[in-house]
Amino acid sequence: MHYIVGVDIGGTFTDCVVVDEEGRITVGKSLSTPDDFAIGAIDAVRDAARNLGLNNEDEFIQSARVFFHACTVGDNTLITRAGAKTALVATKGFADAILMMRGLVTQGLAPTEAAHISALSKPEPFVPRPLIEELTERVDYKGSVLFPLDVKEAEEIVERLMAKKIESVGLCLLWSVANDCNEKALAEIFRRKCPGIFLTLSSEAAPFIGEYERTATTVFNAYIGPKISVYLQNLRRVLKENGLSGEPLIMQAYGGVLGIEATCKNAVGTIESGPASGVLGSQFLGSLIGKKNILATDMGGTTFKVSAIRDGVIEREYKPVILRHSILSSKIWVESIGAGGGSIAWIDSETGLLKVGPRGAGAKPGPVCYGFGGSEPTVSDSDLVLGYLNENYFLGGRMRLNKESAVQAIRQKIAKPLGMDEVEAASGIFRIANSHMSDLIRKATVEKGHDPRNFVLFAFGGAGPVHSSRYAAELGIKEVIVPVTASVHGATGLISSDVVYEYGKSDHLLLPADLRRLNDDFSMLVGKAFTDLQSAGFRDGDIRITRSLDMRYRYQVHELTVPFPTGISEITENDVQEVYSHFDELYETAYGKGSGYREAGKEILTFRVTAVGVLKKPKIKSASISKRANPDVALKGKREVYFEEQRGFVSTNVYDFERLVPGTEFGGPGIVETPVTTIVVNPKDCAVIDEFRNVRIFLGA
Amino acid sequence: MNHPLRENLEVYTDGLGAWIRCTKCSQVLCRLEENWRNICRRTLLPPTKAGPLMKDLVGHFLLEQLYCPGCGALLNTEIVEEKKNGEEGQAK
Amino acid sequence: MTISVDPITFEILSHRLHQITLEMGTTLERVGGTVNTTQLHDYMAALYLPNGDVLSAGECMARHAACAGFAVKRIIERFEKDGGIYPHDIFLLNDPYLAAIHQSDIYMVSPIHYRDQLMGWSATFVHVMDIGAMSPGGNSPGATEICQEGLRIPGLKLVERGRLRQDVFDTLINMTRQPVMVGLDLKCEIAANNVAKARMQEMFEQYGPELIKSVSSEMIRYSESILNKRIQEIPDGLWKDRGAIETDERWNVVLTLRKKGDRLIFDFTGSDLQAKRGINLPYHATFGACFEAVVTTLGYDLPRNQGAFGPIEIVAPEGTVVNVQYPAPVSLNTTSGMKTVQYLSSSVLMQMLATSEKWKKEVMALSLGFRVARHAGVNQYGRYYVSTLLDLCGAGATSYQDGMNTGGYLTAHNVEWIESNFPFLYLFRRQLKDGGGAGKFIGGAGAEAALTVHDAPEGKVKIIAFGVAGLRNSGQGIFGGYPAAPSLLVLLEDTKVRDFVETRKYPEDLADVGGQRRLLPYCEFDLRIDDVLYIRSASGGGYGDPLERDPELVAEDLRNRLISRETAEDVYGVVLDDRSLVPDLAATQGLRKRLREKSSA
Repeated sequence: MHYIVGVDIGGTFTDCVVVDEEGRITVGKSLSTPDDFAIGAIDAVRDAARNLGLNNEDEFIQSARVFFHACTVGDNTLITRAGAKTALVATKGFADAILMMRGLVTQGLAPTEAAHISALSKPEPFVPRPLIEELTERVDYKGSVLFPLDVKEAEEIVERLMAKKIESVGLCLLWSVANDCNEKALAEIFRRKCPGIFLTLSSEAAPFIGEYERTATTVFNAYIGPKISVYLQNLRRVLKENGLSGEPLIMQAYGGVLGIEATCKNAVGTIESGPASGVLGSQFLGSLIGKKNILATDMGGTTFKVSAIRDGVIEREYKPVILRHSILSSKIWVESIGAGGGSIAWIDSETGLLKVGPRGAGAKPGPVCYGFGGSEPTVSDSDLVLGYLNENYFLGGRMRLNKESAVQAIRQKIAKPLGMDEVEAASGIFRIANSHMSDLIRKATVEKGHDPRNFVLFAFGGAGPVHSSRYAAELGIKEVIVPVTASVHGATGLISSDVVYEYGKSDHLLLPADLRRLNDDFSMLVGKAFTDLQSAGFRDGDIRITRSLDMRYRYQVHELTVPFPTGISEITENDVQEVYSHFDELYETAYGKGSGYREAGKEILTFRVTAVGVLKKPKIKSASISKRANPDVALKGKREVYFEEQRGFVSTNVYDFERLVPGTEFGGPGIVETPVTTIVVNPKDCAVIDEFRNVRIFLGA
Repeated sequence: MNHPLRENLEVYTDGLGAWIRCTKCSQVLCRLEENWRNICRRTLLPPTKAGPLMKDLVGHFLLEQLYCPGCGALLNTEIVEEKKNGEEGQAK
Repeated sequence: MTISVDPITFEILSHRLHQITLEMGTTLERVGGTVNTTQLHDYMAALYLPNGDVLSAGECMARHAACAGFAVKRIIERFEKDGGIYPHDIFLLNDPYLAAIHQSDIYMVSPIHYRDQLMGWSATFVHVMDIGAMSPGGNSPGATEICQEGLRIPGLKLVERGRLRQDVFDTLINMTRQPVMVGLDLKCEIAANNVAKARMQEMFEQYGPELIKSVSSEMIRYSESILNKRIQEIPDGLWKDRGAIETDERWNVVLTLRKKGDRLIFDFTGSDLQAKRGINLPYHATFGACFEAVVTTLGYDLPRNQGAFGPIEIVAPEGTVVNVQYPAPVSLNTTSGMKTVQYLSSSVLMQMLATSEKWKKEVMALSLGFRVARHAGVNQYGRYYVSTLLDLCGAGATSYQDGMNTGGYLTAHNVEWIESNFPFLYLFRRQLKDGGGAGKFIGGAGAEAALTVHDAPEGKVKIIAFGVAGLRNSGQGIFGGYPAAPSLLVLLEDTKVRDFVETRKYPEDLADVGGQRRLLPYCEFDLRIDDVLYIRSASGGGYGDPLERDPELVAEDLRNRLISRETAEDVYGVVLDDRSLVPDLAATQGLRKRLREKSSA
């Protein structure tokens, strides 16, 4: 028996999902062990083995093809500023690029913060000015070397940095993307004089035009690289000691896994890789149930996130903003705001208006009802007061919630000052929180040119399924799906992933483009792809290469990525003409008819290659639908639940998810309790359990 | 009613009316309605006193600084025109 | 505060109305053609009440929100009498004497009907690439009257009951040098207004027009009552300042701010008569500058709507530089006159804020503006182009933190982007050492760059130098703080830069290239292959006495190359160890005492 095992390491819990050859899913869970995450990972795997009912745990572990996710080491290192002592070498006269940034200092700030001009400041640099060295050399836009590298000066720079005990160095010279010879020569000098140092070359980490963003990417990579390396080497060692023979594969922010060596070389790829797992899981699930347009939403304790899958393809971005810096890295596109179960409800003293968030109560003290000392009412407290949550059955019965304390907190802090009762206040908190989330989804989809009405909404996160039908309804969405794997959707993404390498390079070509040059640029990238995938053990038959071009109309600003059909055959004039027309179509779809200035001509800016090493996907077992399934067999009881439609409490059926069989259908109102979340079905909606045991809610049905 | 006026100056009111005084040494400069700038000790300096990159202003502008007559606290720094015969431009 | 709509519904719907203006803005950014629209946010998108009062001006620049208030009212005045206002009409206006700041700002105004009843308006403007003025791009230094500054439209109907009037559209774009790009901008405005109409229809359907009306008037009352309250809390008083608008001539501007209760009166009486250069401001631009000064400090968290205009009154005598009348020109005003008026209106406001314990933390050193250069010519690919050279400015210091280095205004391009689009080679681009005004808190450093012509087929590039000329520009210090280094455009003529490039040696110091140094006034000239152009943006002014700056911070400024050794000692009075750069506190105390005695003697 062969198993596919995915382990998702979170802040509090480590989840493990196992799929066997027959497509049965088993879940394991353990507490995360921040001192050495590998331990918690092994615990979760053992828990899954136990749940599988296996006698021989070790045999299971040895036959597992294992995937891990680098948890949040990269993100944490950046946020806590615990990275390597990092220096940067830049072209003389241009050392301040990383400090000047591009202006735009309000990127990543909330609107009120952004409007408060006198209080604005730039993010603290990861490499302070005294550790930025300037080197005499210069390359121009054509790649011509105008000033050669001053070797003596370079050696002095290396010696200075060694004396300062620098652990990691980023090299980012102007126009290294057009000609990397000086950067490579500089790297050689470092390797010769300082063999142990962690080196990041901008021409390798982010071979794209734009010295600020390229430097920022290089610096991030240099800063977190050493820590990520140490973490991953340790992980591999611990796994081996415990009998795991499979090579761990690490999730990247663009939704694909890479081996440990490749990850270490591109440490930036691990930043915000957590959400990537979840979105991949959504894509996989979507393909199982035939849904190609998905808004994947995740409402956790503090943050609400939304990503989009269109025509089965995950929406990506190539210049994400991380901690207020723009970097050049492929990433799944995710929009987020501070809104979650732990968001605090408060009254603005100057205006008397009720507000929800963005401040949250976090995990500690958490919502008032958790009993960990929280005193400010939160969204989860409202959910409890309104009857959505069950005080006696939370987190699968692992935790009791204190309803009275939630009532008191809402009454004192919100209801009394507003002159209303606590139910009205809780309902207000609920509605405001939902409006924040639907507004974010609206804003995010408009920016991408999507109409939310054409999508189904997947709801994840602890608090998601309580609220999702409301925030989806606001947008005109017709179907909300709470996946069976909601509790482990990160791990589900892992096990459905392929090995994916991304390559890219800036080369500015005006149309008509020289076919020779076009093919040469791609060949170089495709060559790298084959080298990497072959050394990762893939045969040609399991390698899929897709080439794309970032293009735009001349004098216009918006770029679109247009793919060639998958394959590596030489590109002909016919092929490019098709891509150019496809660009015209895509542009009109995205930006409206007549919006493209076609007469100005087009230009190519970036060459991209996505190389996929296809892995065997788990086959998920689907159950047979029972046409006469009776929801009552799953009825746990009833309780009073508040619904806006009734402006009051209504006696509502409460179902046990474990006892609902595929095919069961029931109309709202209704509550479904699962070990990890609560699903609220509103009065005018209808819920169906599908063949995979996902809960499908049809709004207004 | 007492309230700040700017860095190092405040307005305070007593039985006799409202006054402007220095917050460092409590020296009263003048009544609220009067122009406290006229009471200050005043110096005119070459613009390069503000830094080396001000050299382009030499010959055209001067640096005017106003100080508290009591303790010498710096109250104002401003660029004023240098008139051709060496006199400075109009004070406020 | 009592409101007639329940607070929950108000919170949700007011936010949603605000979101609609953001969606309008996103549409402009996505469909618009020019960098101004798509990256610099130099546009406006807003919603209005049926009478033209601003309901929500989104997140655009506050001064544009103010002018927007005038645009709709002008259209109503004109078309109520003659022509009619019907569902799915869209109107166009760009007359600076009526609502625009200058002609390049083209307004589109669209009525929003629900079941044939006029429920409100939406409006946008974008800054177009060309407007058919004397000079390409619009800013025309040679114009002496408004008729030399391009099309001027007091109001016309561009879309009639949903049908675009192609004859009018073609006529308008035909008069510009960039008909396709201008056409695209007009189309994106139509699209943005259509988005507003569609979304408002949904709102009316979902919530009913009565509720939306209640929420709308509540939003305006909300901003007005809070802003009034905040102003009321500040001590009454009177504050003055004076300044000048300079090109190669000079015009004086005088401002007195009077606060009584919750009223603010900005009085510009005494300012010079209007000029025969395009530096003049129309009334609404002056209003906009004053409004922006108030709302970005006292009201930065408040929705921008008619209510926020309430407490503000402007006295600007007709026929002066701050209230221009026909036939005086305006095309240069955003880079000259506006900067002066923005400075003055902020300056008097800062003096007012300083008198309030609660609001004095908003006091910030201000800037008198910066130099701008347009460049035009044939690039390395053989294509003619026109573009602008602008770099990042340093912000003024406040009473509790240093000014931000190279943070504004909005954005600047990478050197690599510039070198890949234009025939230039940069010798350097960096933060300006000794740029920020000295003070207890130092002003933010601006940027400096030097460039030369590279691979230009014609061997030259035309440069048009304008912006805030004269040497009294850039950040000014506040409350004792020192002024920042001036913003400059300098031409080094007939230099040895070619030798350096040919022998592949890097000029360590700009002085090494030699040549004749010329501080550039307002002018046009050709930058040739032996010339070097030096550009310096504005830095921020300082706050307070530099002799009070923490010596540790001065040492850090030195380590961060924001100041020189000389400045550390001569201006800040800090004595540092030669090698470690650690401050010698005792020696510093002594030096500072001596410097103080010398100064105030």
